[in-house]
Amino acid sequence: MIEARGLEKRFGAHAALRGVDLRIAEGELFALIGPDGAGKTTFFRLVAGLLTPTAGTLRRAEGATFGLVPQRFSLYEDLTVDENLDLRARLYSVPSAEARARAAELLRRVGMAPFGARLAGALSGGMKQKLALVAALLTKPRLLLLDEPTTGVDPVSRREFWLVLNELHHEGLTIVVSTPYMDEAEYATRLGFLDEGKLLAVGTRDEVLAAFPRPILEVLSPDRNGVRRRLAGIDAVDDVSLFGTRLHLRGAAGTGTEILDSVRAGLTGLVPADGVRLVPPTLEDVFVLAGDEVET
Amino acid sequence: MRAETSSRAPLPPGVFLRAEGLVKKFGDFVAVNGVTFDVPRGKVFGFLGPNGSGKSTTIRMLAGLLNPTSGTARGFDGLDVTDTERWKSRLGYMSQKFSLYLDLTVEENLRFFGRVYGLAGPRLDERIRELSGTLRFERLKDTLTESLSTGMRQRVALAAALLHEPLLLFLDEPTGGVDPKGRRLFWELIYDLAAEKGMTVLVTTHYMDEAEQCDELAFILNGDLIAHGEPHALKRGISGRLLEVDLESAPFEALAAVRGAAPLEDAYLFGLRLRVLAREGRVDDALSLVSRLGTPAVAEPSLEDVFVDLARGYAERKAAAQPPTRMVTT
Ligand SMILES: Nc1ncnc2c1ncn2[C@@H]1O[C@H](COP(=O)(O)OP(=O)(O)OP(=O)(O)O)[C@@H](O)[C@H]1O
Ligand SMILES: [Mg+2]
Repeated sequence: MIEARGLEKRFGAHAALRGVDLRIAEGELFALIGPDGAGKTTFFRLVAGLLTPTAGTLRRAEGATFGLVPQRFSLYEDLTVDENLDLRARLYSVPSAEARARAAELLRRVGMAPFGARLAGALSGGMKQKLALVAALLTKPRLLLLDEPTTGVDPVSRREFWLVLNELHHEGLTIVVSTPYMDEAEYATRLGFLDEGKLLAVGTRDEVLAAFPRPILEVLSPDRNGVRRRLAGIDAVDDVSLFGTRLHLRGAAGTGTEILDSVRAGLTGLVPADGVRLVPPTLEDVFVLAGDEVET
Repeated sequence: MRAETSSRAPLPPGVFLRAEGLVKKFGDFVAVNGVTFDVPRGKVFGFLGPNGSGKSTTIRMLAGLLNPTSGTARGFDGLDVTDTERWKSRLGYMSQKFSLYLDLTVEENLRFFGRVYGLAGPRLDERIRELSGTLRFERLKDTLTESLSTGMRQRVALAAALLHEPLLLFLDEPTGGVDPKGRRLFWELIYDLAAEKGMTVLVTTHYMDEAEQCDELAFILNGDLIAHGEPHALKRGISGRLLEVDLESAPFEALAAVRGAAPLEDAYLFGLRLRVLAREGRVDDALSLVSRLGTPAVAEPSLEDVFVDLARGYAERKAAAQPPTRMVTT
């Protein structure tokens, strides 16, 4: 559906994409992840034909209709929710009866059913984003490009949105989506990790995680700050983050068992040995490590 | 009229801000339906709720930017929100909508906002120097704001809200669109402001891992405050038991296989993980149901589970027309 070869895009002195090779097949649900400023939005704009490459090529399947939800969607703030959707349906020549039924169903699923008559300008931030999503899903293009579609959307609505996306995917749509939510990236058939204009990793989630070079530990303790202070003195640990009552630790190098031993030793008296264990890495670990390596 | 309805006794020393029956109507629509809550001094207070539930509207009233239809707010050791100028000079506010000028440099933006707050000369220079150090954007002072990443822009916007050394900070979805690493850094900064500077912070977020970091939380739904308490206390209030199954693949198929089953109060995905809330007394049935999909483990409820649980209770009470608030105390 999409093929990028040596794709580059420069804006003046700034290189937003620096040689991207990527094929996305028909029917894939592909997730793009990466820090902000990595080039995700530029990639979407190139695919949508809103920009032309500085070098390299980008091809989209012949005649494939596509829809794009840009990161900052522009709605007509002086039109109501329903009017915005009507207008969108007419622009894309969706028959009005069909468009209306579909809009009603989609609005209901994201909890927006009561607000059809409200001016878009008077919607809350997340409601505007939901309207943008409904507008994009109204037309059923063959290719759907979604640039961080769920930013600002509440958790329960995010669940519903992904159920809808999954249905569309099953109907055969090709979907490319960028997201800062690592749980959402896991729904993709494949994902690409973009950083500073380069694709650092492409593959299934398992492939990407298998390539992660560091051991990860988890510590369970109600005294998170106490544990944090102790850990500061252990060189084998180079990153600590908090998740509720859990602490998530990254080993600097070496094998998992060595680090497990030194962390257990370092926390004696504070955390029992079985409160420290090795866990598999997550996509968030991949993310954070890449960022740390760029910074230093 | 507003001030007379509130009780004039001073707030307890641990309370820095109190919302008292705040109501906001837009025409016939009730966006905020009489919310009352206390924000503790020097703590990070999270304000959660679905889209359109009234979070931003409440914050704008608390920040003195929007007049309540009725109700009031008191805080800052003896002030009332109707004393607008003094009230506003003591607080910092970061709106959900990005507020910096994209065509100015970072430093130009800070100078502009500094002057808005009445800062000038060496005092302003010093504040800009200090904040660009603490918030770690020193090397970017001459950069055009437009070319900053979202995470960095939000740090600059935070600096702008802190220039006049406020005692209370309102952050309305400060990490929307910020990447995971940027979010972590932003939260470390929020924590330091509360822990080291004693600042009181009221923050909204749709990220449950961030909500987890708050000292106290309030949940709002349809303009009604439906719960208020510490994260672990709210979690204890949840009825039923949460089970989790790690899936290898096909998460949506797994979900479809159990969704709506009688022993389950709720079922949803978190990436390749299926999470189900077993109804009270039906845990064994729920276990055998999900064991077909993988090995289930008992999991700690997340704040999202708490919210869904509270929302269900709210709907039931609404149907029975009972008062909507449930307070959780520790
Ligand atoms: N000027 C206005 N006129 C009419 N309705 C409004 C106006 N401003 C806000 N509303 C409505 O008030 C309700 C609450 O909006 P608010 O922005 O407070 O929600 P929120 O909880 O901050 O949501 P989000 O999570 O999406 O930011 C929404 O239904 C919104 O459409
Ligand atoms: Mg809001």
